[in-house]
This record gives sequence, C-alpha cells and structure tokens, in this order.
Amino acid sequence: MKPRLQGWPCARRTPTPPAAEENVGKEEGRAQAGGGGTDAGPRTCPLCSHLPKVGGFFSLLRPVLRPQAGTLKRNLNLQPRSCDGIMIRVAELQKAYDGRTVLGPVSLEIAPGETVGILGRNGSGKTTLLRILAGDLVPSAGAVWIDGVDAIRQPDEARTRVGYLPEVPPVYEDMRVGDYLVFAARLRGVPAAQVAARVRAAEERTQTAEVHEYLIRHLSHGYRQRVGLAQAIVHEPPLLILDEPTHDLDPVQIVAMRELVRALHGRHTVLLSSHILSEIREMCDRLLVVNDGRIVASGTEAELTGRLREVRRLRVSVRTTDAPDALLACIRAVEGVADAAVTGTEDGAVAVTVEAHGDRRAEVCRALVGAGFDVLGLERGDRELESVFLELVGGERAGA
Amino acid sequence: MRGLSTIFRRELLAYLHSSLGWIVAAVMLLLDGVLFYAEALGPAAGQRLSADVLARFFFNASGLVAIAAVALSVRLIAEERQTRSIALLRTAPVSDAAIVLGKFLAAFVFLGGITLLTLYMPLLVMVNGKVSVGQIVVGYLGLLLIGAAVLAIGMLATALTRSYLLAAALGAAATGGMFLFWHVSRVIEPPLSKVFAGLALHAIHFQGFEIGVLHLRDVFYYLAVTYFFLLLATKIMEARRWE
Repeated sequence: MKPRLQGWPCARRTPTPPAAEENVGKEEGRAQAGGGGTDAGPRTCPLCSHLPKVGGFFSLLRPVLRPQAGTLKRNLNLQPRSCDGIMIRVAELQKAYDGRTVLGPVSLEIAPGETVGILGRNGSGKTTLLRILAGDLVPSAGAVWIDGVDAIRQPDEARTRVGYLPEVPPVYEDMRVGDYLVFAARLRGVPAAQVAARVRAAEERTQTAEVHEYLIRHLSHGYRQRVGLAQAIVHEPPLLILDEPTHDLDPVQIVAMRELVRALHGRHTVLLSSHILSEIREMCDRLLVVNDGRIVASGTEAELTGRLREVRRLRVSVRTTDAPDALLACIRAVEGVADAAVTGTEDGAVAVTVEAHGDRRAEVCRALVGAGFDVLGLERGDRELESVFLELVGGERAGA
Repeated sequence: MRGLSTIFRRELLAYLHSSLGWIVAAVMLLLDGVLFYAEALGPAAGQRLSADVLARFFFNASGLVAIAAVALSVRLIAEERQTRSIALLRTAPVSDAAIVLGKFLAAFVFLGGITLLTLYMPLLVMVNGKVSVGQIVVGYLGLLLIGAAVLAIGMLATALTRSYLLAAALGAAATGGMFLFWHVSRVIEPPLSKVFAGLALHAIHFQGFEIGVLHLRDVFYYLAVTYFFLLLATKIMEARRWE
C-alpha cells in the first residue's frame, strides 16, 4: 500500500456495486424502507475518491486534489430505467461525515403532485436528506434524480427544478422584500422579462405583497418565513422542499403557514419535514418516517396506523365510586389484554384506555358486567399517529 | 458564468447600503489625507521632489488599501454562513466559482472606487509640482493590483470560517505574513531568502509601481496571487458541499 493512502479508513475495501437497478421500481410511488444490498458504512475508498477520514482543514482540500471524480464514478451503474411520472427518485443514497454514516442507504420515489412529509426526531437525518435533494450537499454514495435529471451529474440543471426553504429562511436582512425576490428570481434563471410578474405572483401566493417595500430586518419571524417560501416558489419549480416550515412560529402563524402549504398542493410536488406529528398530519398525503438515517416506514397515516392494528386500543367508561385498582385488575385479567390505564374521571365515571391484541370488546364488557361494574360506554379507539411514530422510531410509548 | 452578474450587483449594493462600506471608505480616505498632508503639505513640504512625494503617497496608500481590502472581504461569505443566507446561493443553479467571483468583483469595484477617490492628492502634486501622468497611472494600477490580491486572501479567510471576526483575524494574519516575507528574506540565507523575497506581497513587487515603472513580472505576480487565493476559496466552497 502506498504511504499516502494510509489515512483513508477503507483503503482495502472494494466499493460495493450499487444495487439500485433491482430496487428501483419494485415499489412504484412508494419509498423503500432502508434500501438494501450495500454496506452500512461509507464507501470512503481512495480508489473512488471518497472522503478521507482526516477531518478539519485538510479534508476541505480534497476537492482541490480530486474534484467530483468519485461522484461520476459512483453513478455510472445507477441509470434510472425511466423517470416518467416520478418527481424524485433516490437510489441507495448515503451520507457520511468523517467515516460516520448519518444517512442511508435510502431509496425512495415520489410522484408528481404528491405532498410528502418526512417525520423523524431531531438528528434523524431529515435535514441531511433534504439538503442533498436541494443540491446543497453532495452525497457520499448513491444517486438522485429530480424530475428525470441526474442531480449529481447535472446539479445546476436539477437545482432549477427545486425550490428550497431551509429551517432558517435564507434572507438578506439589508434588502427590501421586493428586491430580494427579484434577486432570487434572477439567481434561479427566470428570464428578465418575466421577473416582475413572477415576483408579483409569489407575493400574492404567500401574502407578502403588503410588505413588498419593507426591509427584511423589520419583518416578524412569520413574515420572514413567508418571504422564504416566496423565494422558493418564485421560479415556479416543479419540486418544493420545505425543511420544518413551521419552525419557531406562533400558533396563529403555524395555521397560516399550513394554509399556504396546502395551497401549494397540486401546483408543486411538496416534500416537507417536521418532527411535529400534527403538522405532518395536517399537510401531507403521505408520510416517510426516518430514524437513524433510514426510512423505517412509508405510507398514509391510515396505512401506518393500520400496520400496527394487531394491537388495538379500546376506550371504556365505567361508573364506580371505588378506587380504580379493582377495575383495572378486572380488565387486565381478560385474555388478550396487554395493558389498561385510567385516563380520566368525571361525574363518578372512570375512563380507561385498554391495549389489547385483537378485538376484545366483548370479552372486556362481559368481564366488567360479571364483576358488577356499570359499563357506560365501550368503543374502539384507533391508534394515534403519535404512538405509531414512537413505536416505529423506538421511543417510549405515549399515553398509557 | 450564470448568476455572476446577479451576485455582483447584490453585493455591490450591499456595500453601498451598509455602514461597513462607508466606514471603511471614510477611514481610508481620512488616513490617506492625513498621511498625504504629513508628506506633502506639512512641515516637510518643499523638501522633497514631487516624484518622491508621489512615491511616498503610493507607498502609504498601498498599506491602507490592503487594510481596507481585508475589512471589506471578511464579511462576504462568513456573514452569509452565519445568517444562513448562503443556502439561497448554494441551492441556486450557480457554480461556487460564480459565487466567489461575483462577491470578489463587487468588493473589488467598491475598493477601486474608494481608492480612486484619492486621485485628487496626486493631481495636487501634479499641478503644483512636476510628475508624469504615467507615474500616477502606474501607481494606481499597483494599488488596484495589491487590493485585488489582498481581497482574494480575504476571500479565502472568509470562506474558511463562519465567524467574521475570526475571518478578519485570519485575513489580517495571512496578509501581514505575506508583507513580512520581505523582512524574513533579509535575515535568512539564500536560496530561501530569494523565495521569500519573491513571495513578499509588497517590497520588491510594489517598488516599481511607486516610482512609475511597470514591470510585467509584478503585474503577473499580483494576478497570480489573486487567482491562487480565489481558486482556493472556490475549492473550499466546493468542499463544504461534502461536509
């Protein structure tokens, strides 16, 4: 081995051939949880020009020595069969920092016109994924096509198709709103003759026309977020990427932002991230749940909750003046009941939530009546997205 | 280069709308005026030849241009990274080279503008003394070239960190270090002394411009320094996409 290669963490590792051809297309229009077929570690081999393990200043000089060579090599085997009807196609995407994989492998497909939410805890890899799709970051491995354009080989071409609103809106405080949007439009390559009309349209859609002449530094956080959204749509991109669009907004502003995002539905494919379940539920057609850099589940809210239906939730209301211990013991003694907990009391009635395997309404009702309790109500409660999410990402169970 | 002119216009307007730009301009012009007064109009008036007075003016002005260049350049990328507005540029269909070059050209035009505002001083010498137009033209060419080189060094500094105080310190240290190469060359033995003398940002490369002698090697030196540091700044920007 040559001495200069010794600093690379995988100098002896042969890069694993990407297996995107097999995976892409298996689940049309659906994300594939986690992808597969590749080593979880980053392909940081000197033979394919990936990042060296050394960090800090010296790693910054890597592109000086071998700019983009690895990127092109990686993608030779990852040509898409067809991108017709697919807005985003991601194959075996990975991102590693200093030898530590923070994202992937991830494979997913999103159809035009969809509004897809990426749900995950802080640090789960949502923002890294969105930054790669927006063209801000280069992945360590894998391939991305935006509207049929290879986003790694033709990054500028792909970026013209994307509008991106990061968590902190990328605004210049010293500019007026109108000037800023003109700047953003020109930067995105909007023809000079259309700039004024596009800016007007973006201001109308984001309700920022009344602050057209304001300096951005004088705007509230909510308006800055709207201006950030306006710059993302000013060039009418087919794909809109919003990273935590309601971040740090007050409740009124959150409702307004939700309305704005809903209004984008149909005109753009929207991919947004959040760690707030209610936001995702309100705004998206489909959810991708990300945990530890991988997509652990994908589907509509109903599909995700249905996937975990083998554990069902019952809500029971019982009239009793005694301590609830006997009541809970009675319910827990029923075969198939996993857990029971008091969730409230009102006018002598105790509300109990029961987690059971399968539909145990009849058994629970018989047991309670047999034990002398007055059953006021018994209904099946759907599992809430919150508990599904927590179960998917391995967190603590909510509620019970 | 796509986006270059858009970025250039925004950055130039940012200088015109910011207090930093005008503070740098005011301080530079004030110090230039004070030094010119001390050299040409003060107690030493009439004791030197006009050409010497002009050479002293360009010598002093070169130092002030270098300081102004560091002050103007440090905010260019560091500030954008700090306020996160850099995301707009990085996700737009423009190359990192266009971003660096657009910002550099805006700073250069602003610096060139305030440098040319000192033109009345050499003209005063020309009206009241005997100097050639060539010396003035060559002197200003030297000021612009050294300004461009220091701006490029500042661009590298500002690309390396998100703190513009740190960027200012790095830029000032790198510029000061390259100025000091000349002194280092005088205390070490050849052949290293020749290398250091050749790399020195001021001294032998600027002496010709002070007295109105144009050496192409000096012009190439400053252009090469400018190109080298702008290239490094661009590569640092590209490297950030791999972080």
